[in-house]
Amino acid sequence: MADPVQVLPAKEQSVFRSLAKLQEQKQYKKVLKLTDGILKSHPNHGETLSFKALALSSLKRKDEAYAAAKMALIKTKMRSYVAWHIFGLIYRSDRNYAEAIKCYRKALALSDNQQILKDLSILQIQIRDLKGYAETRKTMLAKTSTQRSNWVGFSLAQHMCGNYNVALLILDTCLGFMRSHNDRDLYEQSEIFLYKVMLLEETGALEPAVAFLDAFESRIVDKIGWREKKAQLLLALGKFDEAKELYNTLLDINPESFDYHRGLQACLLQSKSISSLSGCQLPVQDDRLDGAKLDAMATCYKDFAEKYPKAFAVRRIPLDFLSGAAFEQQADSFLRDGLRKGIPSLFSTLRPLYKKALGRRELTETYFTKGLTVSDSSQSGCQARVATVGKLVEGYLKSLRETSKLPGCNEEEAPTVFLWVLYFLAQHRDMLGDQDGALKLIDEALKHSPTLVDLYHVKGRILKHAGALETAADVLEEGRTLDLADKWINSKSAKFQLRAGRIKKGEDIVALFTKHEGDSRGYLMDMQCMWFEIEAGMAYMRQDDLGMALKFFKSVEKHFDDFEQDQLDFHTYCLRKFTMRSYVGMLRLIERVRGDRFFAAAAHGAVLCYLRIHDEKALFGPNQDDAEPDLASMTAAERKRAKAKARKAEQKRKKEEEEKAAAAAKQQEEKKDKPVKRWRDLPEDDDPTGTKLFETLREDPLKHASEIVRAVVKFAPNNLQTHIDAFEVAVRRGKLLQALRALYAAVQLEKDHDGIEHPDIFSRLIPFLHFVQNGAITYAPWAGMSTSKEDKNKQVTKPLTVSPVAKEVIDTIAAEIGVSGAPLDLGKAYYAKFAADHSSGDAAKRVAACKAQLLLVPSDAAPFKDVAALPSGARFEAFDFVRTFLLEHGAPADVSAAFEAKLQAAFPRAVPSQSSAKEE
Amino acid sequence: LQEAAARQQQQQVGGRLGGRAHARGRMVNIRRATLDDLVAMQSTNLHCLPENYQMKYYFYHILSWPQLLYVAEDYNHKIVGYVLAKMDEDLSKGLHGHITSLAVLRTHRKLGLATKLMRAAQKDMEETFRAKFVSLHVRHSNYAAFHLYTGTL
Repeated sequence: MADPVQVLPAKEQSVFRSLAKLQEQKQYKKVLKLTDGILKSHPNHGETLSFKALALSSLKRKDEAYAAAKMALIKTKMRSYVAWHIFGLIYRSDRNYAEAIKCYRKALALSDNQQILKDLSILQIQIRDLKGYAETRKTMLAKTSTQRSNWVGFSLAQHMCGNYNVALLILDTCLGFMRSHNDRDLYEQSEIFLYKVMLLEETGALEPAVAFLDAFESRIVDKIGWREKKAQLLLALGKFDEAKELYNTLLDINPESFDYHRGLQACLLQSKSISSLSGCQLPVQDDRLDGAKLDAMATCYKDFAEKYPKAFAVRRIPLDFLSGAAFEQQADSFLRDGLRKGIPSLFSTLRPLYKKALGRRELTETYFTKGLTVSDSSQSGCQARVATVGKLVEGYLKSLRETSKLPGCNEEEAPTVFLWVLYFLAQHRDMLGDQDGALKLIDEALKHSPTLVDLYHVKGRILKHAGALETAADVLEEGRTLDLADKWINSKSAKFQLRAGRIKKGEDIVALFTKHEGDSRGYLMDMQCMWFEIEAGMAYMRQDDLGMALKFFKSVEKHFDDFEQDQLDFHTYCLRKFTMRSYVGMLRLIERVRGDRFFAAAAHGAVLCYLRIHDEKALFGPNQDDAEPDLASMTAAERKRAKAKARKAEQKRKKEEEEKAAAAAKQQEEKKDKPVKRWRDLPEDDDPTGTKLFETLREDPLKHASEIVRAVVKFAPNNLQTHIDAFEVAVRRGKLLQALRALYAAVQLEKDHDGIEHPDIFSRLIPFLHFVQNGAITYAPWAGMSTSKEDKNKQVTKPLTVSPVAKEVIDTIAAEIGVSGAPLDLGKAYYAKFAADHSSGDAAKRVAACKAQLLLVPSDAAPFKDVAALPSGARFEAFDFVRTFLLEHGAPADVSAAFEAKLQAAFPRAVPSQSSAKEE
Repeated sequence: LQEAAARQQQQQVGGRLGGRAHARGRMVNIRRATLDDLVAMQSTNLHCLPENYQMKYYFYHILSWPQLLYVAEDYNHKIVGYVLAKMDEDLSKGLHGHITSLAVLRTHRKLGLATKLMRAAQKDMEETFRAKFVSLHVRHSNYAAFHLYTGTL
């Protein structure tokens, strides 16, 4: 303080005082000008220099900013809290929160400025330094105990630390001096009351929570929230009658809420265990209701149908538990009603029944599919229901064709009923694998109503299921042009184009709705349009453009980083608004948000890219010129092949580079004519083709892959794909225990189902154990000895040195997850069961058996023949799955050709495989 | 820019909530949104509307007016419709709510979902926030929406 150099004359002092406000108003250039003015006459005034640093940082002149901020600290002899605070703010703007916190602490050692305390608390909760946060909050409360937000803030901090009793105590003190004033205040208080209920519930004090809700009923303005919470608590306490009453009241307000139906059914069944159910899942859906309970439920929904005549949920739900004649009757009226009203989603609401009836494994890995587990009773129950639905609607069609009437009706139906029957049945047949029959119906519907966009979408889906991706894309595009103002069909068409490999076209279509001509990609990225980024990434990956693919996948990952950053502004905001339940929800969400399907899909896509870079070094790896194959050690034939391969790869790369250069030149050209303005002044994309990114990533693909794997293992541990990816990365890095641990986690997920027999697990686990036992890896990609797609299946031997301790651990784990016997024998038995026996219908297990066998006994050619022997009536996706397998594992040409012929015979619309197209 | 062509509509909330139900039936779960729904809501918005928002804006809504976000979720756990609403900060016209965004996937039309979502949000505006009326913007060309707001509700 006493340092005369740090004291400004009055005139400069008043300018200095204005700086903070200007900075807050984002007038960075002005701050820069003013600070320069002061520094001219007082070059050693450190705090002015600090403000200059802050302005420089805001103007993105980062290096200068840090230099100035450091100099300011030196000039103030490290004794100015302002200089430290500002240094911290600069770190914060670069998201370096750890350093920022250190600076704030230094500042607080020099001053008890409230603003710095607040800033410190924000960063502490942001990085989840809960203990530190609680301490800061305590200090803030001690300093200003008149503010309600400081009480609630301290309570929240204790809550987050798990100190529920302290949290409740603090909150109670705060509640004690709350008085209602105006409407806004009433709402805030109401939220705090409900926050207290949340706290009580989380400590398990359910009865006190109910008592509290009752006592404060009149002061809680969120009436629906009040009822929902009380009903839920009563149910958890087993007070079924009271809960039932509340659920009935709630159903009066909203009879379409499955949360309420779920609660009510639990009350009727006297069962508390519904916490594992969500969405539209209901306790009645597992086909385990016995006589009396079934009757009670049926009666209840019969009453509901009268009470809520407009609510469809009450008529759809009985289809999940009724059977036989009762089901048929209910389904009949439900279907007729839906068809007469022309409800497009009628079939989609019944799809869960079909899925359970089919009980089939999803073969395609997309980010929308989830594993399906069905009990036998449920499966057979649903099979009967689906058969009834089919019978009913086929009956409608027949009757309408003959008489224009529905069975048993005297009046002719409107022509649209016929249309919607066709629409429904087409989807029904498609779902059951009869794409030909489905197409006939949808084409008839299209003849009837050629302008109905929905028909084109369904037709596209059917074609997709028949393997005709390009025709499907054409159909969607036709549908899109019928309604150019509809963004939904636009999105769908774009997606189909991307799936068909028409990337440019897909992007152009999306761009029609992203108003900023010339920078659609920038807009989509800014708006976090992840479905597009994932589809585009996958499309680029299929075309071997891994740079672009990774660019899109990385963009998705970045969105999740941004979601995490988004919290920052809400830490103080929510303590002003008192929306504590939502706030706690956000804090918890952020910790698991990367478990989202979009993140998982992007992470999986990125891992696939990295694995390809690793497995196909010749094409994607770094420094291709240096990595000359060791020609000396090869036979003449091998040498010839290697040279040809290198030549081919070189040609391909050159061609690609030329194309990219041409595209870039063209872009440059266009830019000259019309300067491309980026959406919202985003910084220039200096890597529009992803090449720069690819250069940085291809150096060490496995390192990048394991970074992503670490994130998904942490955030999406319940996803089988996570552990499969983790295995594939670990085994390539030679981390045997890590690889096994990944499979162990996968088996745990499948414990109650297939266990080690799960196709994705078995085809990896058994060969892996075999290699460990034999002391050598013979599968080239796992050995890290594959350099191109073609030689992934070449014969290699990479000796493995497994220490006795590691061996013992591996044996123990293997025994624990149920591997009993020699891997070779297990592979043989699995093979006999699922591949050699051609009547086995599980295509995934057949492929897994063959893959395992090929890895175990590379000389065996039988797997190729057996895998190709699909049962008649197999779906296209099963064919496609096998086709990929044959391609990936280098099947003999005659086997591949025979299989392709068989596929084309079964699915004449299917796009021919790439290899067979090349041969022609 | 389309905002410029938008017209503002206002309508009374009180007394009209119990009006004639136009909704023809809904086979989806209609409930209040939770934090876990936001990513899916954003995706639904991007699929069918030209006005899009960053996640932060969804956070802002649910952290300010948690009672005013509703979703329609189908049997396959997919968000097929949503309403994103708020209380207007401008009190000069009296306390009122505002519909920021409302969308229903084309595949789930004719179920009355938009009506149902609007009603749910309106009920909470009135009951929880004491709103007197609700305002919203509709593009001139959007006939379906126009019909919904002038007729159905």
